[in-house]
Formats: sequence, C-alpha cells, structure tokens
Amino acid sequence: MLVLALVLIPTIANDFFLVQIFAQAAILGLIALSLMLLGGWGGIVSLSQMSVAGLAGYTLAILGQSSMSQSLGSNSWLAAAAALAVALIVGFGIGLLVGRTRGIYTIMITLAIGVAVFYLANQNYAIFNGFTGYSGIAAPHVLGVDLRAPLPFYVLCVSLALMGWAGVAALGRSSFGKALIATRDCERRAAAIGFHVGRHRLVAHTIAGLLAGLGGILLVWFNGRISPGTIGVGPMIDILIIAVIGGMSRPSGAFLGAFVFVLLRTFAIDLVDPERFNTLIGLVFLVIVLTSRDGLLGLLGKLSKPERRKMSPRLKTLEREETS
Amino acid sequence: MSSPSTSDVHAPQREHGHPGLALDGVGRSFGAVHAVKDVTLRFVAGERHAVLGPNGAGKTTLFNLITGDLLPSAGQIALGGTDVTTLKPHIRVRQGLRRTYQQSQLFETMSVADNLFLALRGVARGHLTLIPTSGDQVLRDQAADIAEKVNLLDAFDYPVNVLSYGQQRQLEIGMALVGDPQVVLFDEPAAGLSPAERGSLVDLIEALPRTLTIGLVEHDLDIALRLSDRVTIMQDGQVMVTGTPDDIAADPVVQRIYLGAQHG
Repeated sequence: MLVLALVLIPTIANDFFLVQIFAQAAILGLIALSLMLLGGWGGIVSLSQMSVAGLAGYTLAILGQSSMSQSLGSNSWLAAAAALAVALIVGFGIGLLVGRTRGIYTIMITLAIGVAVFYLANQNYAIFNGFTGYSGIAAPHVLGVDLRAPLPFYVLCVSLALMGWAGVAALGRSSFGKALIATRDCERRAAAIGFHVGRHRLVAHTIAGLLAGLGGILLVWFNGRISPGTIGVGPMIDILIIAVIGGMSRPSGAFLGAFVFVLLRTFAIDLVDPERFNTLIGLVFLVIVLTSRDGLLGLLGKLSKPERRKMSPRLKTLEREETS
Repeated sequence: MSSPSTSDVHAPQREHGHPGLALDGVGRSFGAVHAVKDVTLRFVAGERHAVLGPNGAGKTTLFNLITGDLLPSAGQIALGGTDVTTLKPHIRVRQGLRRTYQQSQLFETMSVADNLFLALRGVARGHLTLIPTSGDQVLRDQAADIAEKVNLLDAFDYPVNVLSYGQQRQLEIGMALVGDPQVVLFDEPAAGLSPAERGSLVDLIEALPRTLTIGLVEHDLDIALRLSDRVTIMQDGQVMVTGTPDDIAADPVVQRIYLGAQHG
C-alpha cells in the first residue's frame, strides 16, 4: 500500500512537494535510519552519523564534478561509489573508536568526532575548500534521464529509501539483527551464549556508515552543494531529533520522523518566524517524548490497537492450574 | 594441567575419566578483598558437583571466573583438558561451557522463541548472517524442542517481560542447555521459586543426561544434596572441604560453618 501511495504521489503532487518534501524526507530518513539501526537496535547513540554522510558528500564533491576548481571531475557514478566506500570505512573507523565505550561516553565521543570533522572541513582549504565548501554539484544523467529533474530525483530518492528500509527490516529479522538487539538488551548474556559483542557493534557501525553515506550522496545532489554548515552541530542534532520523533524501534520510524521534520521545517515559516523553528521543533519533540515511549511509531501503535493486550502466559498458567 | 596434584587432599577420585573442568590455585582479589583464594577443584566429567557456602563465600565469583566474566588474578582453569584461563566468555561457550545466572539475564524485549534461537545461534555458525535464511527455521525447531523440555512451549511466542518469575527461571535454564554442552553451571537456579516450582526444577535437572558435567551453586541444602554426587563447601573464598553428600551432611565442620551460618 505504501509503495502504491508513493507511486501515485507524483500524479497529484507538484514538483515542490516531490523534491522539497518527499525526496528530502527520504534523504534525511536514510541518515536517521543509520542512527535507528545503531541506537534503536544496538543501543549505541551516535551523534556522528551526519558527519559520515557529510564525508561521503565531500568525497563526491571532491572526486566528481562541481563548479569549484578543486574538484577532480571524474565520473559521477565512480565518485558516488568512492563516496560510499569512504562512508563504509569511516563508519568502521568510528566503530573501532567507540567500540569499548557505552552510553554517555559514546555520545560524547561521537559528538567530538562530529565537531572535529566540522572544524576540519571549515579550516582546511586544500581538500575541503574551507568555509565555502563545494557548489554546483548536480546529479548525473542515467540512460538519458536527467536525475536533476524533480520526478526522476523523487524516484531515485524514494527507491533508495525503500531499499534501505527493506534492507534494514530484513536485517532485523536476521541472526545478526536479532543478536544486535540482544547485545542491547543484555550484553553480558549475549557474550555468555557465544556472541562476540564487540564485533557485532563494529559491523553495525559499518552498515550504518553505508546507509548514512547513501543519504550523504543524495543530500549533496539535493542541495547542489556541501559546506561545513551541512555537517555542523545543528544538523547532527537534527538527525537525532528525527530518529527520536519517528521512533527507534522499527526502520519506518526514521522516515516518519524525517517526513514530519521536513513538513515542519518547510511550513513553520508560515506559522512562526524562521528563527523560531528550533523552538517549534523542540516543543514537538517534548510533546512526543513525553507522550510516547517510541516516538510517532508508539503513538500510532496506541491509536491502532488501544489497550489490546495478549493474555500473558502467567495468567494462562494460573487459569490452567485453577481448572485442573 | 589435566591431572590434579597427588598431594591435593580435596581432589576427588577420577574414576569418571578426565576432568570436565579443572581449577588450579585460582584466585581473584578486588583491591584488598580476596573474593576467591587459591581454589583447586575438579568438576569430573559426568559428575554433578555442588558448591555450597554462606553468603560472600565466593561461589558466584568462582563461577564468573570459570565462565570468563571475570579474569583470575592467579591460577589456571582448564576445560576438557584445554587451558581457558584467559579466553573470553564467548570462546569458552563454543567449547561447551554454559551457565545460568543468579539473577535472570534474558533479552527482555524478545520472545522466548528468539531468546532460545539466539542461544542456539550463539553456539552455531552464521553470527553475521545479515538476512533471514532457511537455516533459521532449523534452529527455530530446535528452540521449540528446548522450550518443551523446560515447559515453556505455551509461552513460546511471548516476550520475556510478560513471563512470570518462575517462567523466566525456566528460560534461563533452557538457554544454558542449547547446543551440545559439556559443562553447565547453575547459579542458584531455585532462588525465589515456589516449592512446586522447585520440585519441577529438581526433576528437570535430574533428568539431564548423565554425560553432562554439572556445577551447582545452591542455597537450598536439600536440593543441593539431592542433586549432587559431590559437594564442595566454600568459606571466605576458600575451599573448606569436598566430599560426597553423605560425608558433607555428617561433617561437623560443615555443620558449624554452613548449617550454623544458615540456621543459626
């Protein structure tokens, strides 16, 4: 049904909605999906997912084509493949760095990594072109279709988002995914039944790097540019807000959160001053966190099956004992 | 490493074959506190061996040292004749060592089925399989067999956090019986259970194959003496005496340090 709706949307939505709302939500959703995988299932709250996306975006800008002389001008697809490889390696590297830390320490280290990447990009001109960054980066043509055009770009972003969503959903049902959730629930037991907890976390970081990198590439094509502002502390926190608003228990939460976030950011300007957007999103965040344990997914769950509960096996046993 | 010192008065007869588990001079200190001190013990293959003692005697610390949850400050531990002293817990599990915890350590948000599935996957290959596979169903069927063994088939698809305490204890035991265990350590399996639940727990452990080496920490002296072939009494981190249940029940030292501590 969701796929059908996404296919039908271009028939009713205008270009602005296709790109600014749906494509943008798909892109931010992909990056938030990487945090959902790490945080929701692995219990690893990482603030540096936007930095991973940003480094992939910078790789694309540096190796591919832009209006800056620093760009090497190679084929866009090759540059995109290299960007994904960089995201994979950076994800792996962050996993190595934070592997032994837990909770607040993981948050602090990934925040530090994010800030370090921001300042590196901001102050390095030779590679990152400093404050200005790169602009004039466009999505390539494929089989004669210009991916810059609204409908093709919408199709590209939404297809990749659907693939990411389906991939992570399958991961959640796999042995790896279940074991990752197990390391979150009870790390000690996970080790006591034979799992190498550290290796599982490292693989999770690497897969999350790939997802964030994918989002980063699309984000650069969406904006047409990348600069330190794209990967500052604000955007890093936005990804966390998106993941929490949507709900971290299932992959769909990341896209739900991104959709609401993008809607609010786009239309809040009609309701409040643009500078007040953070106040508004902060209020929305507060209301959702205070009313639901699992973001919008939790709220939707409450609405669809109010107080419907399976009879617990404890009651079942009692009942059986009484009747026997 | 595989043969106990002949001068060790506590070493049991080894008529059952090579030791399933051998501890030699094992010690662990936390700062100035010696939680376990110079413990030399044999869990002979196929034997059911209870470790008793008052609170703080070091029984659980000893189990944690055997499983690798803690590393010893001194001594050596061998499993099936192989030195495992410095191996990580997940490696020891693959060599046939299993344990239960005094306080249930379960995956609370997952179903009984998934808990058992993971326990089976943990000792099998395919930890990093990233998509669901047809092989998963085989493990799922095995999980159902184990659930039946520990009377949890009714609750198979329920999340752990809605189970009763007794059912959680049953699952705790089920997760330690997966695969092909050589040595299973039960850490106070009967703690907090009702008399009826204790009865079925004793039946369950008694029905386990005699080839299995069992280590048991238990506060309920009746259960411990009934289930075990050999009993070791610990106090202040040290082994006081090792013997058959009858010897132990009659031992005046045991009466003083253990029964005295419990009942007096």
